[in-house]
Amino acid sequence: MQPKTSNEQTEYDAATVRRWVQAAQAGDQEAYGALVKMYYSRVHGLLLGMVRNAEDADDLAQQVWIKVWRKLHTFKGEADFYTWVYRIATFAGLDFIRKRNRQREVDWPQDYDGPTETMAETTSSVRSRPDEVSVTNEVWQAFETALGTLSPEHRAVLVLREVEGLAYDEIAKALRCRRGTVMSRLFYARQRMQTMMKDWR
Amino acid sequence: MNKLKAQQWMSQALDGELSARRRQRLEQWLAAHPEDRVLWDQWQQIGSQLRAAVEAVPPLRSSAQAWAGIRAELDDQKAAAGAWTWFGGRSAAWAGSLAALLIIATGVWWWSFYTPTPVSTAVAEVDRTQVEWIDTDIESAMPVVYTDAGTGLTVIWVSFDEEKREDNGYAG
Repeated sequence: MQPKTSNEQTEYDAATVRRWVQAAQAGDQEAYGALVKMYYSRVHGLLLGMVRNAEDADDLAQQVWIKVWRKLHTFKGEADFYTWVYRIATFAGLDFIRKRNRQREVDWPQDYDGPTETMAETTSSVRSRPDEVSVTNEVWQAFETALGTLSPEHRAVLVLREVEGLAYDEIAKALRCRRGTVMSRLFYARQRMQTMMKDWR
Repeated sequence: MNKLKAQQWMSQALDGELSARRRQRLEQWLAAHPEDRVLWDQWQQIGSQLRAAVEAVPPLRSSAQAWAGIRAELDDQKAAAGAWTWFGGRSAAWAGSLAALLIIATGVWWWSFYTPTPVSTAVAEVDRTQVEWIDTDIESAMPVVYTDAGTGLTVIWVSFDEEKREDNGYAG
């Protein structure tokens, strides 16, 4: 099977995706490549919201897709393929943040200045069109800082809701927690972000 | 409804998870509490800012470039796994045979060192004792000493007249 892979980020219909998944499960790397190309950007966005660093999100996205390939035989097709992928990606993101936090505690207890390129820094450099810049870099920096104060779990919930647009039940399933936990984490995350951003409004 | 409950409902309403009836009550609350309306707007902004931030930072590599990297990694892993499979497959028979041979050789070596030495060998290895005389109070006893040709042992043989032996009280 030769799936059309030239058109990046094209959303294919569910039947095509299913065919690619089945082919990939049978070992067809071309079919898997089509899936990767279709969803790579979304997985990257999800991870970027969680890890807040473009380079880390890129590396992590690659690791996630390698992990997905290895676990592909366990995908039963009960859920949508991307739903299954973002669950893996979310846990990979959470793992990464936890490890990074532990590393920071060990390596930079006193004078850690933050990652080399934060989302705010990358955002300000990428947003080159003046009409697109509706807020100042300082606000972006404050937003990124506020996001960084959230625990990995709270950040994951916020990203899954606001970036992925998932419903509470889907988030609960993805994070293997209760719906009520999702609800309270979102409420807390919003309160916390709003408090942290208060001075910048 | 108190402030905390109203704000919890606000969060749920933003996510489209609040029932129509509660949503109506929330609207009434917001109309009466403008400070919570401000909060509502700010929470909405948090969501849109997060989305904008993520959208503004595209992946460093295009999805085609990323796939090339992923594929290369998968190929490397496949090659490594293939080598491992070969090692664990056809050559496993060789490895098994070699291991069996090694076990047998070790067993033989161990046996040769630790198995009790046969008596004849033991006798041959110890210092020979020269039998100079045999003394017995059995009447008419006649000792015979000779070296057994088969074992190399020195055999002491005492022969006597059975009747005389019983008379002297050597029964049993």
